[in-house]
Amino acid sequence: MFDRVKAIIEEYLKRDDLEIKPSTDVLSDLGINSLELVELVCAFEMEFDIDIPEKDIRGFMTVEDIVRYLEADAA
Amino acid sequence: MNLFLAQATPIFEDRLTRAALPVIPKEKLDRMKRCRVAQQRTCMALSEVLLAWAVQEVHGLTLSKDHRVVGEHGKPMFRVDTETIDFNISHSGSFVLVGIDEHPLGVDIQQWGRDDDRVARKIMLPGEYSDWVQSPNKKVDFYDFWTRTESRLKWQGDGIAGLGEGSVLLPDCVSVHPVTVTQGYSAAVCGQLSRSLGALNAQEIDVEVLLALVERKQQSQFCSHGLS
Repeated sequence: MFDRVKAIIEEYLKRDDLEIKPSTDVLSDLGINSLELVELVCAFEMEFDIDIPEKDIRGFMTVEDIVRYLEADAA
Repeated sequence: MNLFLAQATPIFEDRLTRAALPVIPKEKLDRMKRCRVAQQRTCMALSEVLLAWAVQEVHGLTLSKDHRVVGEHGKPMFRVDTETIDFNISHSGSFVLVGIDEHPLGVDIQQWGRDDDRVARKIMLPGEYSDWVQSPNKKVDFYDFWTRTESRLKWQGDGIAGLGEGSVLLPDCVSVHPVTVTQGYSAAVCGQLSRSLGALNAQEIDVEVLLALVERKQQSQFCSHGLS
């Protein structure tokens, strides 16, 4: 799951030179803003064919948070 | 309310970081150091330098890290003696927008990019989405909508956590206005303003002029401390 999430983030950012780890802070470390986070969430929705409610986005602080959320949704 | 706009590219990162050191909170400095994107680090430093300069210009106050306190909803503000100054910061692309006021405010600036239908469905109410899909200028309208929404969320102190909760009724004394900025960007401000106001202008500051002013001031403070 982590590799899929990492690949989606890299594809969204159009960069593969960023070191993305589970502890990476999505906003601060990757330098994305609120709208870009919403766009990234939409990319996860399309990749995993799920709907992520807006209220859940606030929990996406780190890459690990996203991985856990998607794993829980898939379970 | 005063709005200030400045632009910087990563060639200014080192100077802006040095200039920001006296005022940037430790947590933000740590975040800045961790950030892997040079443009983002540059804008983070610029926002602190521009904010400190703006407070000096408007209120005649020289800020330090100790003046920053946490207000309602966890929003940072400045308290200098008995005076309280609300502020809000936004950056996107290479631009930074800073607003200061005596009342809470939210500002947002966003560089135009893609106007994704799926994102629009997520951030707009059904009626807003219907209007938007019929717009002849969908890209600009999308970013205008987003900055209005984000400035309101930031005024409330909710940030992105308030997304999807619909249009909260603002108090009569509070309204959202577009801010005129460079082509390719949308910006908005939410705060205690007359609803009859149209678009607001931000005072644009050249980053080299800003740095020259701030560096000269810091140098003179260093010299005076050194002599005392």
